[in-house]
Amino acid sequence: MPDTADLLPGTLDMLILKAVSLKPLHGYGVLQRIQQISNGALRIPQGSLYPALYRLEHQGLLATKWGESDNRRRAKYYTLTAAGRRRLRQDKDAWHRLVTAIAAALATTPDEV
Amino acid sequence: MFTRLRSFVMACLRRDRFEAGMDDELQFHIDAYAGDLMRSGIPRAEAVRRARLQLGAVETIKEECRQTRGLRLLDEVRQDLRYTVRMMAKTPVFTAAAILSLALGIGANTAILSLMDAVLFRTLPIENPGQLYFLAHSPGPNISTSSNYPLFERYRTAPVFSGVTAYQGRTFRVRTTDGLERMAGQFVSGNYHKVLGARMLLGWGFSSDPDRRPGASLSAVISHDYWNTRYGRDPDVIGKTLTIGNRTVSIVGVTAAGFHGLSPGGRVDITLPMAVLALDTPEFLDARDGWVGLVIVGRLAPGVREEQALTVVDLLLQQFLDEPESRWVRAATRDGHRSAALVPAARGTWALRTQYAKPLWLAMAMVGIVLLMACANIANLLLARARARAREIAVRLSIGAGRRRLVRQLLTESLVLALCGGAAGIMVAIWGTDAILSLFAVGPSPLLIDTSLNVRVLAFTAAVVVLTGIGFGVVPAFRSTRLDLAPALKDGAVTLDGTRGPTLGRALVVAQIALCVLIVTAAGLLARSLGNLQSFNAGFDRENILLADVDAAATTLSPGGRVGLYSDLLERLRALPGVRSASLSTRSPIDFSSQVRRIDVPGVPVVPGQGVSTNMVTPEYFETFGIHLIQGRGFAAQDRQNTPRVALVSESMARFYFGSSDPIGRTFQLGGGQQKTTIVGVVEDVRHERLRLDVPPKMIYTLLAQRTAALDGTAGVPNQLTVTLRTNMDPGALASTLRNEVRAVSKDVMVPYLRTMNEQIDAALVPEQLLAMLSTGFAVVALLLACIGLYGVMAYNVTRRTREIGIRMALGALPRTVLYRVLRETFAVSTMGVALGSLIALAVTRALSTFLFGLTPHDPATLLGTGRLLLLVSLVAGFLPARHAATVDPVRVLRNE
Repeated sequence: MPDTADLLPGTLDMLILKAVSLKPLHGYGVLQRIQQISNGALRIPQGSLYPALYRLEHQGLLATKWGESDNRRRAKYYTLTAAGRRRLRQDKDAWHRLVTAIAAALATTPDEV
Repeated sequence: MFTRLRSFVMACLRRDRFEAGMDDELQFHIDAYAGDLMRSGIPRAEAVRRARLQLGAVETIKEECRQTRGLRLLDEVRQDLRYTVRMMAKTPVFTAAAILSLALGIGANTAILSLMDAVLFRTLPIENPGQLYFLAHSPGPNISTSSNYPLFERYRTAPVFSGVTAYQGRTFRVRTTDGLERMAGQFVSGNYHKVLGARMLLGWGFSSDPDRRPGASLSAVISHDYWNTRYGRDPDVIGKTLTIGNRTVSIVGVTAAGFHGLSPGGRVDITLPMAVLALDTPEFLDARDGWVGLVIVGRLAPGVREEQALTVVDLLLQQFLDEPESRWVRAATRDGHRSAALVPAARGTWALRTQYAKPLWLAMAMVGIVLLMACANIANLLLARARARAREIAVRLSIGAGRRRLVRQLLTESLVLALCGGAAGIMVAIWGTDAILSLFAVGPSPLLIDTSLNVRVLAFTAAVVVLTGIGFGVVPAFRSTRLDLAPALKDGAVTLDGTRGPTLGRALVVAQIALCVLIVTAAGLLARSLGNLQSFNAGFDRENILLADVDAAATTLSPGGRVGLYSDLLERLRALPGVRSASLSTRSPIDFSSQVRRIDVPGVPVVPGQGVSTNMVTPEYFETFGIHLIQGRGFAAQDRQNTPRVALVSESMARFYFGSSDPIGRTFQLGGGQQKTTIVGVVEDVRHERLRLDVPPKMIYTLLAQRTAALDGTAGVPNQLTVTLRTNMDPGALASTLRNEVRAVSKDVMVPYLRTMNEQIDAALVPEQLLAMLSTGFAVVALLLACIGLYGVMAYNVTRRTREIGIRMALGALPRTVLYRVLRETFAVSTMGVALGSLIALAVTRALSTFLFGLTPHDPATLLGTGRLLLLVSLVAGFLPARHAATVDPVRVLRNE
């Protein structure tokens, strides 16, 4: 898959929060949703997904509830808490600022220096 | 922060649920992924394999998940603890030695601290104790709380206080169905409990009763202790009556447990309002010609500062003293000036603190040193063990254990040791404080000291435990994890940092021996001082003497009848088998009492601040106590009430007032009275107040048969006298006989305090005995610790050098040579320690000088004795390792190579 990209460090948390913000998801669902919303362009290392989920839950950004999956199996569902929603907004703003700044920096031509 | 804590706690408490949830979640992931893969046409087995592969190592993920909750730390701590317990069980001797040293060290510290807490630090169980002040007064540095009622009435009007109250300690004679008993109590002003904010268990205290109110109903407040012992915790005690003297009072309240007035160490079982005192002696409320032991306390009004209050109080005092009615109290002050003083009353009166502050701090310094020695010991043992474990640690380090992790493991071990030591130490402390308190249970009114463990003391112990645990553990932990791996792994012949390991151990032992010398020297000095005090010739015989205070106040006899009663009693006692002589007196040697009475000697100018001490006696007094007559004659049967007044004086009295001229036939008047008394004889000096006093009191002995109103302020025979028996058998054996004889004379005569002379002297030497006993105990512990330390290091050295010794012996060294070699080494270490310790001792024992008697802080005999003792002890400690070295079998050692 030549079109996929590795995640930048620190961005996994933000993507998880985004994914969960749309609708409550189980762990596997989070994985699928991120791949879906990035059109399969982002490759998530599966091993680091769960520790990240546990960390976010520990920080009070995600809440968990056991529920039933589509194929009628017990699964742990993650939802966004109010604190999580706040954090997602902050992360998004910060990310946009960073991207704009880097894009501007990269777009600089020799004349402008 | 809170959510994290909750999530950590939940994960800890519901550990199994946490683990199960994690398993389910990961299993679900694999199943769901595999299901998706199967739908895209991959066979089941392959799908599951791929799903697992993609997820990665499940255990690693789980470990990382646990880490997010902080659970990993918990797991590791648990691992460390389990390992520690296993290590401790594997080396029982080491563990026992370490815990025992620590228990002694920590226990001694806790015991002394709980004593210090009880005697020096604890505030009274009253409301806002910080606001309460004694309204005292002082000529110069001697602050006195003794005032009188008219002055109290001035102070209570001062608006700088929200309340002012006063009390006077008394002994009450309570008539019960079992006979008479004497109870410690006090008369208080009618607002006492309210001003103090003393909590009541039942009923109420005195809050606003006027003190001047003829015909008032008579009430009493009793203590929790008295309610417990006399009334068996009767909930209906309120309204019951007590007969005190010839008055009947009804109980209106019981104070909460722990409240015993404002004098720490003293008891207050019965509290009566001043109004009761005023019924019998109405003049008390108006007497202003003396300080009568009435203590005044005030609670500062909100917002008033101490200096402001002091200004007001001083102003009132000066006004009071300037009035002509205060002539007497003004005259009693040496330079005529007396200024007011405010003394914080939060911890009560200061007599007990002043007496015990220095001994207790000294004891604390000593237990601190003992604990240091215990720590050094364990550090040494740990170092030695670390060397033995070097190989294990090297293996763990080389297979990738983090050094931090290993240090944590080793520190856990030392903390667990400290914790066990601390727990055992608390037992030692409980036992130790009991033993110490038994020293205080002497004298006419034993001190009341509550040393039950409290939060403050336990917090101190916990702090000591953690500090010692880290203190003795940290150096060995870091050293033993810093070793050179290659040689450590090669075989048992491990060296830590070359040769520095043993050097550090040896330095620790030298320090230990030096500290030990210090403690043993101090103990030697203190114990010998006590011995000197106990055998000091105080001017009288102390063996075979039985003393009994006899209290006839509850009898309804006239003064003449009382004389008859006393002479009756003396006759009966003299007739007893085993009694050589019997006498009566108002005072006895070393009875805590002191007096400074005014004396006028014609031809000798009055010296301000100087006075005499008096004792009214029967003629046999001097024979009974073995006090020798030096000059003139003794009292005789012909000296009676109607013959000229005669007196005997002590050598010091004669020297002070008459110098080299002959005192016999000279006259004097006592207490400003007119009655002339003639000196007929001079007797030897006797120490009266205390043994330590450099100057014996200037004593005047007068005859009970010639008692005068001027002598004790009240007409007739004193209520309380001391009976003294000189026996030719063990005086204690006559105690019950004496009681029976007193009972036979009158049922209403009490014997509140019965003791032998030696017991009376011991009661006066409590601080000295306390210090001698504690320091001797500490010295024994210190010697033991030094022994263990020295033995440990030498034994380790011998083990380490077994091979060298084996080779030496194979080459022809004699076992004796080897033995001497090791002993010489021990001797070198201990000599260094003794030399160092003696130098320190020379520098610091001066701090002990106030506690010493009959020897100097640099007493050469004590210092030499200590040095010899320590060298001897160290040779004993070094002998076992030396013998072990001498019996090394060269063949076996060399075969092991």
